[in-house]
Amino acid sequence: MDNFSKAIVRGVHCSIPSKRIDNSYFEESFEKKSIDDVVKIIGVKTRYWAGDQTSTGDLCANSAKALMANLNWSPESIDALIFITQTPDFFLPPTSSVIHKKLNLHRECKAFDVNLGCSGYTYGLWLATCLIEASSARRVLVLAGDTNSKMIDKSDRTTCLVFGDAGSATAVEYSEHSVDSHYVLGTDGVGFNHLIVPQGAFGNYDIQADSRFKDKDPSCIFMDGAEVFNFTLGTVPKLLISLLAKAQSTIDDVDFALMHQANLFMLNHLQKKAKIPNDKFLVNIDKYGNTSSCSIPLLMCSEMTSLTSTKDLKLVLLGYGVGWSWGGAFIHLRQNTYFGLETSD
Amino acid sequence: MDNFFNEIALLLELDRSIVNKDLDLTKLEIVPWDSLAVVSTIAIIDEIFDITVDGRSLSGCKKLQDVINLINSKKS
Repeated sequence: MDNFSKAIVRGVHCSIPSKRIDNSYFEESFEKKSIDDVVKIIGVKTRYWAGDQTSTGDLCANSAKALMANLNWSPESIDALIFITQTPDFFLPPTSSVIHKKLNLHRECKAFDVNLGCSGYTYGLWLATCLIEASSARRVLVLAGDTNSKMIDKSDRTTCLVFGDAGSATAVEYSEHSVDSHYVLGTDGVGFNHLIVPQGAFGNYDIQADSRFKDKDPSCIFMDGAEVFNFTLGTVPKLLISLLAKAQSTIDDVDFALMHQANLFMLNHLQKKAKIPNDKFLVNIDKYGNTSSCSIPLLMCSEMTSLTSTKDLKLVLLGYGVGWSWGGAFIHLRQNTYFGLETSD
Repeated sequence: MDNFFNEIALLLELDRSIVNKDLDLTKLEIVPWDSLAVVSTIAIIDEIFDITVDGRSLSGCKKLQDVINLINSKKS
């Protein structure tokens, strides 16, 4: 199950907002030592936040336009658009409809939103691949992004320092030549209340009964760091093992391992636990923060721009977090796969 | 357990000589026993003992002996 041969990534483009936030920004709200203590764990030095007039849909649409121009993909050729986010432009309509209009896509294009965060990109690639394998599409745009800065509590140092905003677009296409890809995906709803915005939508979570929410703003992101870490420790190493087994490969066969950039402390620990060599382990959380569903494509665009110019690459992508939800993808990139990164508002 | 005490001393920025099972986690002078220390301790325990302990139980520990008891309960 979830072993494929007909879909390939042709390119990825990311957009980050222009407003750069250094750690000194937070000295208005916290003591410098308090900030430094958090930064030792999360490893974020800068992050970029979208302004009031810039939405996740804007960042992803900008990425899609740039990607389509660079790949010479016409709007008429896009069969499906998948928009992955936890910060949509609207509760309704789906933001994918709004983007459909911005990109001038055709009426037969299948467009829909997917509400996933940290695991969202791997789920997005899997969905695109499934559509292609099922002959429901030949060209799919996977747009993944978040503007979590719009729902952080700026008085909560455990969350407000870690998140950055970004939007991405990935072009996935039917390949005449066989291209292996493998996926391992999973869910455990037991973890739903450890990374949550408890109020603002239409469900009911009893924050009075949960002492962790005392003095917390329920309309903002709450994250139980210890629970997140324990989930990650218990899930990610096994995910990597399962994925490599499915691909009949070892870490030696892989060119790069790209993990969701949750925080630097966790990444370093996972790298050690999974025995991933330094030259295969990409990190950019210091520059961009945790960009949620965009963190893996942003890692590709910021760290891999020149790396596919001379050879094909095998990548392992690991997304894990909110839900709990996790997704691993083992994919091949052909030589000259396009990567682009821009600032846009 | 010696290795564990070494890592805890580093984490809490304490002289190794005062880190033992009787260390009072409610009276730490430099690095408090807060959510950051708890997450770091989860990592230390995972690395040394290859087990996970939950954050809430760890946060509630008053002495290092309480942490050791948690570790031992997971090991058995």
